Amino acid sequence: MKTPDPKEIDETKVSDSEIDSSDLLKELDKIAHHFGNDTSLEIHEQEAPQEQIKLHFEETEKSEYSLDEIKHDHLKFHLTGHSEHTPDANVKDLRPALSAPFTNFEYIRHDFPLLIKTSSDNCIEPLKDYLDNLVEQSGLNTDEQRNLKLLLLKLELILKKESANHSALVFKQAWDLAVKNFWQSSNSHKQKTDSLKTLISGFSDQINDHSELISYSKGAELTLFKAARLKQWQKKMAPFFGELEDLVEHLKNILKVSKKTSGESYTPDALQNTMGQPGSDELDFNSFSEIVTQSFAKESLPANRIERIKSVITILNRWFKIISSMEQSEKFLDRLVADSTTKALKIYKSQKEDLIEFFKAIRIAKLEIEHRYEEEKHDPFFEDFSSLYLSEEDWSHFPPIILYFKAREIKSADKADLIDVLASKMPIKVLVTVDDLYNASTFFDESFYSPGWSAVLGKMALSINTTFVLQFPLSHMINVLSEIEQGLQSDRAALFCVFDGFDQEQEMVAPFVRSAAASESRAFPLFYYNPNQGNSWAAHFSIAKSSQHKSDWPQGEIEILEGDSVKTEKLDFSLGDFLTGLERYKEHFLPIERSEWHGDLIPLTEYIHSDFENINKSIPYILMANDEGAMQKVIVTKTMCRLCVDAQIRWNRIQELSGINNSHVIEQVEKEREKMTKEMQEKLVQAEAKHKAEMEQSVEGLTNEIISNIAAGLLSDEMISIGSGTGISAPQATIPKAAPKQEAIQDEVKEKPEALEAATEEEEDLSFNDPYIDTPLCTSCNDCCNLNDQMFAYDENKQAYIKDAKAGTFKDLVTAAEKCPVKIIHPGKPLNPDEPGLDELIKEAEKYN
Amino acid sequence: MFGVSINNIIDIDQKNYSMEDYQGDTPRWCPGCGDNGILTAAQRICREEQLPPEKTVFVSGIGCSSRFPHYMNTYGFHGLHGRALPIAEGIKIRRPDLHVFVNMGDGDCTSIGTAHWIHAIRYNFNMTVMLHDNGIYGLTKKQASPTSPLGTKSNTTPKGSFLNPLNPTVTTLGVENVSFVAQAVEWIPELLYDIIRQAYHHKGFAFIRIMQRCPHYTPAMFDPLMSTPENLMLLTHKDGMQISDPLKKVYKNIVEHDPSEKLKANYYAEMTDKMPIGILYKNENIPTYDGLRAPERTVTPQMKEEALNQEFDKFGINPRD
Ligand SMILES: Cc1ncc(C[n+]2csc(CCOP(=O)(O)OP(=O)(O)O)c2C)c(N)n1
Ligand code: SF4
Ligand code: SF4
Ligand SMILES: [Mg+2]
Repeated sequence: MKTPDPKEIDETKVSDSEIDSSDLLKELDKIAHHFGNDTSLEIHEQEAPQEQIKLHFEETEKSEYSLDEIKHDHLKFHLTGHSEHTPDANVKDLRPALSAPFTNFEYIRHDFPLLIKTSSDNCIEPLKDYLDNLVEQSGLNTDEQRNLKLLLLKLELILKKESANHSALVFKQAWDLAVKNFWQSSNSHKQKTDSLKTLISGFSDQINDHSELISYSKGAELTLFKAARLKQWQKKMAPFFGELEDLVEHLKNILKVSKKTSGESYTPDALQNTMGQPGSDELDFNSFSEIVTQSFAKESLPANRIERIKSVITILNRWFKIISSMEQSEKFLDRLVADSTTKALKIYKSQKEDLIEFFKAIRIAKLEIEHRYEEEKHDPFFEDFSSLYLSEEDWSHFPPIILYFKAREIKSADKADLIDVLASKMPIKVLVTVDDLYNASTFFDESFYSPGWSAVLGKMALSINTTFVLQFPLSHMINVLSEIEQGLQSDRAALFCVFDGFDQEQEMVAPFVRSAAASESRAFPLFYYNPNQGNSWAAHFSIAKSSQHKSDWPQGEIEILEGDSVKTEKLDFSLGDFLTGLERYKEHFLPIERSEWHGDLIPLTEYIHSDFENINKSIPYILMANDEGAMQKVIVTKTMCRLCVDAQIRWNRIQELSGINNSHVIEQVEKEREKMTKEMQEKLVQAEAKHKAEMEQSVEGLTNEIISNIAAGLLSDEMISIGSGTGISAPQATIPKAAPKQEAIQDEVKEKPEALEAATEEEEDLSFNDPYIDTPLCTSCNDCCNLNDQMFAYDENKQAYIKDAKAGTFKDLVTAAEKCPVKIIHPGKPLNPDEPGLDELIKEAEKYN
Repeated sequence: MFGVSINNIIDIDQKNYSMEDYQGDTPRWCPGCGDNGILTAAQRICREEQLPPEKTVFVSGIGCSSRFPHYMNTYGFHGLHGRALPIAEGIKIRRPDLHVFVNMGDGDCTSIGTAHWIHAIRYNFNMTVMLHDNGIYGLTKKQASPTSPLGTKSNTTPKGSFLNPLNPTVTTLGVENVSFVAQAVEWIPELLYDIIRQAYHHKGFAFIRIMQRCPHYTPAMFDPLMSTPENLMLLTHKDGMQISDPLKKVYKNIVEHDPSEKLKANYYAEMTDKMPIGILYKNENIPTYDGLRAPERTVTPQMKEEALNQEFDKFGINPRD
């Protein structure tokens, strides 16, 4: 389907594919032309893509009925689903005109088959991108590149055909087989292909054994989810690789050292062994053993500790093994897939125990390595160790559990449990294959119109608000890969609803196209909700990856062949188009021949946008085409129209959630506009009134003022003494001078330290009689403390202070002051007036006070 | 790592270390020796940073100052004359988790150990290096050292030394990869502590030249600096040394110096009329040797032994062959 708006093209892979397909054809044409008669690189007959279907209108014989009869019958069918005329075609043999270009689907390049390359960073990649990259990176000139491209396109076709018969293939095998087939069937000139052969075999060598080719097939979603999960978890666990190795190595070392120092290695035999043959007769190993045992042998580690270390090593080794290789991790994760909630819960529980055990072991290991494990303290702690002791970061290593089922297969009880699971904090990723889209078995007739349980599951899960939800058609898998990764990464449960288009045997439309069509027709909208992203609906929810998400129905363009010219026409793609392919709705569509077309027929989407419940003159139709591209108008019943309206309502509400045409906003904007208009008007009236009043008042006031000013001026002293003119400056004298004020502040600043100093000096003067030390300046030289350690002591910074002035003589104080290298001991005045030789000492002390 | 922080969970295990926890043997330096003050500052930094003694190593060479490790109650290595740095580097490369401090005398570092010193600056190992500069060989009883002021009378220069002294800060600043150079005096404890603290936090080779009094052999050497506070020029900056208000009253010769400015650092280092005190130069962007060459995997002694044995076995000669 072609889309009119180039901006929208990127949003749907289907349009991409279509572009690719025409590119491919053009490319092939060009190259075939380029090589002229040289058939060496031409596509083999059976591989040649069929002609694209050309849409056209087919002239038919004149109808046997009159126009009135025709109109009457059409209206009857529209209203009741019954027609008296025998239809000339079966809707089963037609396809919506917009999907006609996708008829020879196997020749269309699209995202499938996918390559899963567990060893590379973009682990899931469309085969076509992979091949295109090979061309781009080949470093060949343009001409050679085209040769290579053509060859790879052919290989791609072969690979596609190979993979179509298998859900998964080992890529290397498939590739080698394709290459072999290709060379066998190509009868090309040797020189021409030699360089290509070398190139291709070079590519072959680069492919590793682990890559897989996944075709568009039932259950592909599970394979892809598993691959994405594996890649993600591996990455998450990668840092543990070195860490676990380290821990185990250290722990083993503890055990080894313990053994070495345990005396075992000092037995005569052990000693003799270490000496080897020569010289062994010259030593008495018994006495040697006695000597070394006495001097070296230490006690070996306590049995408990050895036991503990060993068990930790076992656990860590187990995990090390799991994360040590892709295969081991894969094997481990493969067990974490359930097909019922009960199983998923069981897996969760055992997984949780495992994870707790793992982090517990890491913690014990770290303590052990630092020799900090104390049994009386840590035994009870680890006895008690539970999930509560795990950090958020620890939890994030929980390997996601995949709960995978098909919507039709789920049991009623599981349906109820599912909501519990989804609302939980368990990292259970629910992957539902929607196979009942507008196709569910019904309880009673009225539910005939229901789009199906699993088709609305995604939207219901939105109301949990804390659960990640992604609903997407399998065809768009690559488009939403990053969203899938986010969902897998979130530490909570997540819901993925996927529609693969395999719901019914569909001959006319390939499952891939059906799956995309389900999303385009709003039957199964693509949306996602990520509660971990931002803090509002706007941040959580998005339909931006849905095709033309701002409109009710996406619009496409078809090319119609009319004689020799081609005209284009725009068509909407609606739910009606999508449902044409379903057996159970076939009664609602009636194809009519060109000779029976008339002016009351209008396109379905146009019809449902009108007030069709009340005005029922027109008859809605959908344009469809047969295998030859001949187009038919297909009349649609009113019931079908109502289904379409329902789907549109559901879609419009989803749009609102994502902020498109939000009704609250529209309502509010309308209200605001009204309010503002009203306010503006009121203000205008008020302003006018006020203005008028002010004008009146000020004219009056101004008059008074002028009169009084004139009077005052005439009466002032200055006026009287100085005369006129200078009086104007008089009021300025009252304005305070700014400059002096600033100066004052500066003075204050200057004065302050001096004032402070004076204050401190006063303080110092007060305590002059008591001895003291400028402790912060003490260099801890020990001199004073050595002299009298009762009198002098160190504080908590190992700097001296006077602990007890009475614990010694005044002489001690003066001597210490003399000795102190940084002269910070101040002896003060003697406390004991009877101490001998005071006069001398006081004189000496002056120097230091 | 990976949110597995054992310390968060088992904090009953956490200890609080006090000064005493870092005090080893009683110092046997002469009375009034400046090494005491440096020791106190080192013990204080350990206490403030709560460095587990078993995770801390003090490495020294030979000299009075090199007795330092004995007086610290941490791991220590009283090495060979001039070889403190290679030993410290060995420790750091094998055990990057340890806090490594180095104490050297002026003879130790700038004379016999010069080659190691120069290369250690270039290697830029993450460690704190203190040069106790008393301008003399103390332990061997008074011989002139490269930093002895011109005219120093000593046993080897009885008529006074005749060469201009080497300036360790200028030399250090001149070596490629220099990342931290500071100068301190041991008799202003507050500044000494602040400089060692910043050196400790610097990621790289943090070199501090500390003017250290030797009252026994060169009692008057620093008199001009001690008696006239103006002779000390305190370099301060928001990224440099911090000075308390009371201290500013005593030491009034204070200038702003941004330690990221290399040319200015050189200018101050070369100054002869005043003694600049503070952080001369600091550059956090120089890669450290231990960072560049950190082993990616654990190699236990056991593994090494096995590897060595395998290697030796290749050359082994079996006598019976
Ligand atoms: C290889 C070697 N050479 C010489 C000596 C002798 N020696 C011991 S300490 C010393 C100098 C000490 O001076 P310094 O390094 O400044 O330390 P200080 O004692 O001043 O703290 C010398 C030359 C030695 N111990 N080893
Ligand atoms: S003599 Fe002075 S420097 Fe030494 S410890 Fe006592 S107060 Fe401190
Ligand atoms: S000789 Fe000098 S440096 Fe050595 S301990 Fe004595 S005072 Fe300190
Ligand atoms: Mg010295």
